[in-house]
Amino acid sequence: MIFVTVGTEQFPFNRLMTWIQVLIKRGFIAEEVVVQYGSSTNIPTGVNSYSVLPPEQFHSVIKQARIVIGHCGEGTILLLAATAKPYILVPRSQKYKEHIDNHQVELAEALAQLDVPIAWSPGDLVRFLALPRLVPTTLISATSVCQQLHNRFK
Amino acid sequence: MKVILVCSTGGHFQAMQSLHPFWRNHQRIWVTFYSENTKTTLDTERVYWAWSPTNRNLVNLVRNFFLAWQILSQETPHLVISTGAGVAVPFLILAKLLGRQTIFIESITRVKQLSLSARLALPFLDTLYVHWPQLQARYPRAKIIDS
Repeated sequence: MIFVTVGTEQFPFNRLMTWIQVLIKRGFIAEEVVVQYGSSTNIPTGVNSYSVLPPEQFHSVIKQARIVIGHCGEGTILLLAATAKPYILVPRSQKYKEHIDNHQVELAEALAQLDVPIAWSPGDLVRFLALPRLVPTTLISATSVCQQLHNRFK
Repeated sequence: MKVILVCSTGGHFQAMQSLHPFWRNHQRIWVTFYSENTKTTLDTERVYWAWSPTNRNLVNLVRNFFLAWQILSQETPHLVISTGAGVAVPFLILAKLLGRQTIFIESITRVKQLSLSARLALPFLDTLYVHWPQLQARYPRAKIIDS
């Protein structure tokens, strides 16, 4: 099963929704798909779709998923770092009014340099879905900031 | 020590939760938005619900300034800490003016440019933490979080 999640952002991410729809229609995705579409308005057909999953159900979907396709938001990144699931990230772009600024694109460029699978096109999605990669989870950790805070305020 | 943890929902809330190893040792009060997730997660915590949305919403900014004033004068915390976003700005500004410690932990998603919230709060921060060396190079005052 493929899980697609675009966070709880107030902006739609219809571009990614369309990519998923196209990949299903063209037969590049044949397995079950679960989509948490947030504020998106163009929801793919033939998938299990939810605007926002309750936390427990969200975690159980992540557990069952073969691979997760997520946007480049903080919550998604923290979560994927903690679950050690193969994933693909797709940045929201300011150009298409998917976020207030372009920070997700900047983050995606930086993560791509660290070998994190970033999809810039539907073709990238097809490529990464065929060859899921586990990403080093040491990338993101709150341990260091907690230690620094602890030392200052014990 | 008494701490106010202020953040919006979604990723900012996740980020604050990941600081659990720090805040669990302190007396704390949460300020965030009401949602299914925050309500369930903060079931046993002390919480004030702030006004949302805050993205370029002047009315809610004013309301949150009043809320911040009320909470800061009632609770007299030692420290206000935030992981973003907009909701934190009035709390950090007032906290600094009242002589409290203020900390902002920038989102890991900010690589080249600080968020608008961090830029607005910057003059009122004791410490700004950032995740990426590229960003720290641009704001030498910021402290880097090394993993």
